[in-house]
Amino acid sequence: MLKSGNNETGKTAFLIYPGEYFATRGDVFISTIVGSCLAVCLFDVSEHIGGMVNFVVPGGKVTRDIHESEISRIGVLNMEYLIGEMVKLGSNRKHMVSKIFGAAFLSDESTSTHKLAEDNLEFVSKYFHAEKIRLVNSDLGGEFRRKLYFSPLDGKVWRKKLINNEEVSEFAILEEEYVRKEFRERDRKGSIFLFD
Amino acid sequence: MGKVIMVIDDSPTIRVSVEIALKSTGVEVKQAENGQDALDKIKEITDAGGEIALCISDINMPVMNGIDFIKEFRKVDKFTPVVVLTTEAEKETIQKGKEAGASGWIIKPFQAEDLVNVVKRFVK
Repeated sequence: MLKSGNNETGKTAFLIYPGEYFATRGDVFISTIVGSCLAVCLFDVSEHIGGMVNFVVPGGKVTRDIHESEISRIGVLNMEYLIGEMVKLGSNRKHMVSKIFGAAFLSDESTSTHKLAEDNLEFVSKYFHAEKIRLVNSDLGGEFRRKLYFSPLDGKVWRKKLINNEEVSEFAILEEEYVRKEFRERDRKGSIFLFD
Repeated sequence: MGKVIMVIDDSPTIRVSVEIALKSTGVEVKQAENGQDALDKIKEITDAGGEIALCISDINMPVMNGIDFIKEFRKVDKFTPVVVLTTEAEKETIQKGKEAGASGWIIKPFQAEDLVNVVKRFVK
């Protein structure tokens, strides 16, 4: 994550990279560029706490129920990272609404990105349904990346379509590396500690 | 009512995933959405003659978090094991949980098989 001043608004901006998340109740911007991955913005309408996560569900098709799918497991984990941070700040998932972006079908990458995007869309659809988190806006698919600015204070999102995929060389490389890593490590599991 | 495993998490997805994973243990599973909800349900179960065999609790929850739940639960029950299931991996937080009276700490993501093995260790 990169913290920087935003010259146009005077607000601090937190730029998150693929695989990262950030939550705050501050008057700042959370920003990212998303291609075939998903950028989920959550906003607690009661506490005015917001957060964003940029992630991929390293799937083949989510053929089983979301509660039993080994693939969905990693998607749920990424959402839990973000929601956990928001809960620590005083939020309650019952008061959250969501906006989702990304899942682009990028022509400069292999055709597998089409399937990846479809799998990611299927995951978020099932996840938000199961969590009863209302989806208030989405901008998904297409053959272009998106640059996002999210205001966690009021839940607003500014989205710029990067039609010619300008400004994205660093993000494109990072996203590709991140997606490959997530596929490689999708069977990972956390540590277990048993106390005496 | 016999033995019960209480699963405490504010995520319905996680609660259902854990309940499905524990089907093979044959122990009845009840769900609570935060620490206070769990304390209320545990009292109902024990008042009705049931026995809490194990609690599996998240940490970051609204109303009452996992650490506070363990502290409150330990005031009325010093022996029933409480295993934490969380994304929290910081040593300081794990130490806090241990001091509060946790019996184990599982960092997500979990695999069903590992969860079942931990449960079998605590629930005889």
